[in-house]
Parts: sequence; structure tokens; C-alpha cells
Amino acid sequence: MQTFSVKRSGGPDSITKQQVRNIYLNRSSQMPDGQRAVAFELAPGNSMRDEFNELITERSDAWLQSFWSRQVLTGKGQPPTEMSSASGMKSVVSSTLGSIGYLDSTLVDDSVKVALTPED
Amino acid sequence: MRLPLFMESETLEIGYGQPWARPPEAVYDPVPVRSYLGGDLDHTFNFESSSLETRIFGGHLEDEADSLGQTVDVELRNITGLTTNWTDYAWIFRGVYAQLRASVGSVGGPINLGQDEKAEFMGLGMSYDDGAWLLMSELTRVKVDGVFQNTDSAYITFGRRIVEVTPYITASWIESKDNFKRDGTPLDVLDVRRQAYSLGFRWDLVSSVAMKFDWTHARGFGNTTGGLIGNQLGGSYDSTDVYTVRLNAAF
Repeated sequence: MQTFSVKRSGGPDSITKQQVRNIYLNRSSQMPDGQRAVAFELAPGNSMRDEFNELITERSDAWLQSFWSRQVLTGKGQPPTEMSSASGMKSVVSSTLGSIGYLDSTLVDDSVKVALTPED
Repeated sequence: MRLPLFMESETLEIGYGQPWARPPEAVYDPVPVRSYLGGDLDHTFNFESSSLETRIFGGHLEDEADSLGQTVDVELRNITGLTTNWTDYAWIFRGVYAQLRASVGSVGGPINLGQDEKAEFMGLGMSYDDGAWLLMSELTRVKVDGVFQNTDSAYITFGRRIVEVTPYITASWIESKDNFKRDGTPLDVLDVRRQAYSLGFRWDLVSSVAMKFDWTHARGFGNTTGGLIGNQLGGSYDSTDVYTVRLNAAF
């Protein structure tokens, strides 16, 4: 079970699956509340990341690698910052303005706000 | 700056970003230069679930290029052009137009294919990529006054991603449209007509490393060299096969 968390203070209360998808696929750089979006993701091989890509971006790791190499080399954008662990994800999301990340719901605490709990 | 003539102009040196082992030569080879000195102005209109990007560009370039195995000087002056690109993030439709003054080879040199000739480039492109299915196609026209070839060319690619492997097929075609201008002169080696069929696959081995395998069969040269260096008019060869294995990495 995963949830999408945003920074506790100042972040939007909710976000749609499509909005999350747009941010993670470089189609939008804005959070629903107008803030500049700062996206974080877990490193390849992490099962949470696989679940996120299956549910939200609907793209394979190979596709995403190729997509982001094109975006970076053509100056269109930078991929989400990779965090090596869920606890690292939680702490960076809780301390970054406009941030968004994903977490297992069991790890949610007061430092972050749950903006979306996708259903599969 | 990279001349934005093709859908894959920006990834020409980034094979990792492309599905093919090589971009289809019929479309990507008739313009033998890649980069210009100049500027561009770009604006993207973002809509609910699509975007439209327009760009105007201008400048000039001086470079050396290969033409049938010979190195020639190429100077393109007063380049002006417009590209427009619409996407709903699965489909992309693209149009490009550019005009310029072209000098190819040098006056008094061994090769002179025209000085300060008016030249135009037109292109249409479309692609579809939903993460699993892949479709790409481009249609281009090069028009140059004087003896340099005017060519029409096109390709279409279908591919399908199956986990780490993406098999593809490509069909492409090129034809020079002004052979009459070179009839009976030694420059009729510039005439070109060729169809090519490719079967290949991309294999994403590990993160940021892809291996590509390609078999391309080209034929249908008519009374031309088919654009093959070393081939002779009337045809020492009337078909050719090219096998490619390529390793692409991105850092």
C-alpha cells in the first residue's frame, strides 16, 4: 500500500493521479497549489518504485531511463532526485518546499502529509 | 547549435535515446551537416493534456562533409526556419521548414556543386509511444537550385517494447527528383534511388546501457548508384545488406 506525501506545512491537501503522473513524466512542473514541484523517487530495484511506476507512470524502468536521458541531454528537465531509502525519502520530503514523494503508508507520520492514496 | 531539421536531430549523438541502431539513412543522410552558428526562439504552449512547441531559428554554418567518399566544403548562409511540434504525450506531430543559401564544394576546386544556391528543407514527422508500442515516421524534401540533388525521402518504424527488448522494423525510401539536370554529365553519380528494409532490436542490458542489433537490406537503385560509395552507375551492385551491432551508453 503506498501513499503520496507532500511537505507537511504549505503543501496541497490533495493531488490527483494524473497530476502526479504529469510531474513524474516532466509534463508539468507545478504542484496543484501553484508551487514549483520538486519530485523525489526511490532508486531502481526498490519494490516501492516498481509499484509506483506500475500504478502511476505506467512506464518501465528501461523506458524511463531512455526518456530521462533525452530530457536531460536536450535541456528539457532533470529526473526526480533519487533517494536510497524510504526514511531518506520521508525526511527530504518533510523538509523541502513543493516536494512530493511516495511512501509505504505504515511509514507515514506527522512530518509529512498524505495527498493521495492510489487504489489499484 | 543543432539544426532542428528532424524529429531526432537533438539525439543524433545520443544513440541511447533512440530505438534504432542508426537513424534511417534515407531521411537523415541527405543533409550532410548537423550544427549551425546562430540562435533560436522557442515557446511552448501548455494545454490540459497536450502541448504545442514552436521555434524559429536562424544562423549560418561552414563545415566539411562527405559526398560519395569525397570531402567537400559546405557553407550555408542566411539559414531561417520554423519548427512546430504538438504532443499529447503519446502522439507527436511535427512540421519543419527552412530556407538558406547553399555553397557546396569550392570554385576552381575539384568539386563544385553550386555556389550561393537557394535551398529549402521541408519535413513532416509523427510518432506514437505509449510505453509499449512505438511508431515513428518522417517525410522530408530537400530542394537545392543547381546540380546538387533534390531528394524526397521517408521512413516508417514500428516497434514493441517487451520488458528489456524492443524489436523494430523500418521501411525507408529516397529518390532524387532532378536527375534530368545531371543527364550526360559526370555528376549523374549524384542521382539516387533506394529502398531499405530494416529488422532489428534494442536490448536494455542494464541501467543506461543498450545493445542494438540491426539487419538492413537495401535495393531498388534503378539507374543510380543507390547513394552507395564505391558503387558504379548501371550497378556493380543492385542490392546491399548491412549488419550492425551497437552498444550505446548514457552517463
